Amino acid sequence: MNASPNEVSRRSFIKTASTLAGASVFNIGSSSHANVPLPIPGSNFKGAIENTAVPRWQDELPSFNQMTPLSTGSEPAQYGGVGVGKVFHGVAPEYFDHPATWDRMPTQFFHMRAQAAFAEMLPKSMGLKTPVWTYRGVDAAGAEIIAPQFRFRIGCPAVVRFENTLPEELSVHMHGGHWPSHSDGHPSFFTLPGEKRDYYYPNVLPLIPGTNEPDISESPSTMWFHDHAADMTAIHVNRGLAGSAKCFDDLELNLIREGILPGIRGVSDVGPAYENPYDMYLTVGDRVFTQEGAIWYDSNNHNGYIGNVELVNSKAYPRLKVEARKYRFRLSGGSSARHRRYRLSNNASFLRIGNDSVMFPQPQRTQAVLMSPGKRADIIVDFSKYRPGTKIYLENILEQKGGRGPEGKLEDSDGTTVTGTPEFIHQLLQFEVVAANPAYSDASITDTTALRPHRKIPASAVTARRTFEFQRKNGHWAINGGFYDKAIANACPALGSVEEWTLTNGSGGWWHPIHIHMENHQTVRNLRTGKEPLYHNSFNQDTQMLGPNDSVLIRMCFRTFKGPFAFHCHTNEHEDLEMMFQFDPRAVGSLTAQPVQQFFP
Amino acid sequence: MPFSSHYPFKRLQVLVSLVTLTFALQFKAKAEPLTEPNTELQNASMRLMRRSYGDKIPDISVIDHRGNRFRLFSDLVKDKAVIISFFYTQCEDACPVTNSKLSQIRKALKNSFGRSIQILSISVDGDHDTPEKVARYARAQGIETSDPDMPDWKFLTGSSADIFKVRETIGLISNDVTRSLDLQPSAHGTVLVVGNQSTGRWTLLSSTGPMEQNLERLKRIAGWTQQVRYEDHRKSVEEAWKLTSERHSQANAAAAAPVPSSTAMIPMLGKVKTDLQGVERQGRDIRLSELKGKVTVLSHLYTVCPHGSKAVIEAMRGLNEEFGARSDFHQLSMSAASERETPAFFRNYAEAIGIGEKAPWWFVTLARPQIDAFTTQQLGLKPSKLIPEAERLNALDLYENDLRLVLLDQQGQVRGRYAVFNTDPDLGASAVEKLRQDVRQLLNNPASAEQRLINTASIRP
Repeated sequence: MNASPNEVSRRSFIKTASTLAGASVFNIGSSSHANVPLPIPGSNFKGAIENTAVPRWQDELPSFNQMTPLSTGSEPAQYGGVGVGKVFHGVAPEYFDHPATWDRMPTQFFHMRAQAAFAEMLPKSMGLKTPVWTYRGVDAAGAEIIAPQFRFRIGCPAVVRFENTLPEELSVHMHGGHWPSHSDGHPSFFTLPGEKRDYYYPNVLPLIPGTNEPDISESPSTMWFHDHAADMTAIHVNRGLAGSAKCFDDLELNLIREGILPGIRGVSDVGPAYENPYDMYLTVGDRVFTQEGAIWYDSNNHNGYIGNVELVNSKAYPRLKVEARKYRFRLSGGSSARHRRYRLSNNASFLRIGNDSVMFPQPQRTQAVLMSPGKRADIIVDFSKYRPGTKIYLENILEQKGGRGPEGKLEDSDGTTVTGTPEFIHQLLQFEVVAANPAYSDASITDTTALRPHRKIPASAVTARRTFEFQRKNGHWAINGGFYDKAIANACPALGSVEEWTLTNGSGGWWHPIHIHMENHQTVRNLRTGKEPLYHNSFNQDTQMLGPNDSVLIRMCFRTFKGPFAFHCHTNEHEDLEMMFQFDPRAVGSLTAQPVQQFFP
Repeated sequence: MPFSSHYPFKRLQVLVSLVTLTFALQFKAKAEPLTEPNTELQNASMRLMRRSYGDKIPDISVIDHRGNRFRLFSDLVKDKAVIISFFYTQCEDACPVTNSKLSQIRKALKNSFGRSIQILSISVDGDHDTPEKVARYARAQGIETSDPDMPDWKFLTGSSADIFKVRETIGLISNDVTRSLDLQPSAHGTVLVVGNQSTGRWTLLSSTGPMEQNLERLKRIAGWTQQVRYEDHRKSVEEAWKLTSERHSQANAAAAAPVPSSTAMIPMLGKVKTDLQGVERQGRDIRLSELKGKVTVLSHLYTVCPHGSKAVIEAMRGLNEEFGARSDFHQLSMSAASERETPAFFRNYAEAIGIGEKAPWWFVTLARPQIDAFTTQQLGLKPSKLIPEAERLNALDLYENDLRLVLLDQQGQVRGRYAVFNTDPDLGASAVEKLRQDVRQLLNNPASAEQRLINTASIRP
């Protein structure tokens, strides 16, 4: 397309858009901006594959594959005992010692390993193979499961035997769940090369304080897992060590069974596969590639890795055929440092039904979703109004020139309309609409459907306050002037108590997405602006975005599991360069830092 | 570029499935010999470990506090484990702290690294920090030592512009918004750049971070072998097992027993391509090629050496006791000919340590340049270094040698280099034990000669 007709179409689009959508002022529907070369910031690397040289919309979007258990109910013969024998790193003590209520359903036993492989990240027509480090499931027949996705069920415990066949130390963090310290993917609880660790995922909900009732407002839906080994997280995740996980509870399965959420009744609500062609996981990441197709990791950029080629589910610029009906997409930010504001190329509105792991009480109608690395957004897109053959794109409209953060501000007028850098649009994924399969009815979710009830933590429950300032210090990234110390628990809340933490961004123009492990937190107020959080940020989250100079007050419970757990900046390079602390829920809390109470190396 | 252009990425449409398959099979049956595509995957995997800046540190000219000139990359970083810090002599806040921490780190690393790691403190203000100033500064830090196993510590200076390039390469001076901060001379006074160019693993530590953790991270990142990298972590795992042992006493017994490393897998580190000629203790001219078809262990031998040779001789004697009766085993000790160390001298020496005339153990004397060429180019040992006069422990203590024992298999391939001399006697003993195991393996199972350890490329014993 040459420049001048494009200009015209852009102007007319702007006009239409302002009339229709009211709020949008950008060049909707123009594909010309999809193909602008993206810079590789701060890098001295010459000879990368330009994103403009990567063919678009040629290959199908790869999907994740179900991790199938080796056995359910009784230990598989291959195991030779959970956490004993050849399992050098053991299993969580909670596996042997837990309340009977945790075993509502029989335990599932899995086998997963980390290994080297070649992947086809760039379109097939380029003929390049990318060497990666990756997770592979192993099924009962010994066959490999590529791009594994766990499908957990609340009430159904899982044990994952993890085997490290790579030459470096690893730690698998299941991001967004509620796990014992041993199995949380703590940065210092490695699985050494050649060794194994049994991760125990009890899939239990914390209890509502003062009762024996599970707190269903904490039930996770959308998780992901990735490597979390200290010093190595950024490069390992960049090399490909990431996967996805969904989790279901009675409430969510009912929503599928009743046809409210997208899915096939009688199939998508039945475990252990929960097969659902209308519920797609979309992990978005960015990479730099050498001409040979290898990932180039910019190890001298300590500010945050920014790639120039965008990938969805580890495939550059893929396409996806969608039926003319409602789809559920789980957007996941798999980048080191790139923030994105997603929208559809026609700027159609869609329903957002969850932030991070947890669904909202009620959907939010929105035109855009802002996400930092590590965050997830659960959205419902309705393609039923489009004729077959229509092409719509998933776009990022947030420009980012370096690890510091995106251009523009964190907050916009109401958080649901489109803002970004007007000149910047980058298309990530092509949807091609085809006729709906009449065998399955469309989902019935509307703007007012009741989803997951929310339980607000009351101010009166707060028993302690702590402040953490995220800053740059002597060329490293620090919290309260200190660095990650695996022996020190920087915060020691009493088990079961509620605390208020002030997370302050003290490092000038930098953005820091702060991820707190173990349990969700609730945003109370932005102390810089004095504002209450917008709808989509007012429920449970596990990653708190801090824009430049932000100071955010959050409230959090510390239930079920003794520590230590980590909290850190999810810009992986910042985390590796020490912007990480530990908290350690324990029987008797403390306002000062203490030695960690347990250690599961 | 970390992935250099000669890296052969071919279209492997069919092969890729084979690759995955063979790789998968390999975990089921580790004894299967590896196929070509597998090697390609392994090589690719090893490349994924590498952090690029370690390979790209500019080869600038620097001068150390003793007045010696070096090329920074080719002499001081390439194939080495290093800790790099930045200082300037006028610095009053960060640098003194870092220097005192470095001095503690240096002592603590003596046991696991010895001289296989070195500390490079580079002045960021080379134009003002003249070699004389740096020499005075280094003296004030009290870094000189007569301990031959203490990691070397050099204070370096050079042109400010050159050193600026080094800082840029490591990313300490970014092209990003932090550039103005980064330009201040003390901005990185507490940053330690830690890595191993040979394995490609690097990280940045803060010298003010917790010391114990820094040491663990240093070994883990810069360690030459998996053993050094993870010894601290393995120790803490074993301690953790002890804590839970009451509950799982039986299981614990199985788990705490050291997992036997796969003995079938002995790395192939190289092949001896030239012959070695010398004079044996009986006065006979011998050639290494006569030993073809035998498993051979080679060592340096300096009878005057005050520190390491005792351990070497003990290890060699132990091998002689265990394998001396076998016709397919041989030992060879090399010594540079001198007035003292003549064939006749070794005849007596061998008798004194209980090695008979018929024992399959040659004590070979030859000229020093020959030894040096052979041990460095063929065996992969480090070159001998002339010890500065001030540091000699006795008048005959002229050279510092790489005292590792080298194991050759029946085909003359280098299968291992064993640091049997270590200031920590436990580590030395474990190297001896490993050597005995490998010899046993090669003698009893000659087929294993073709096998290759998965992560050989990263390991430098």
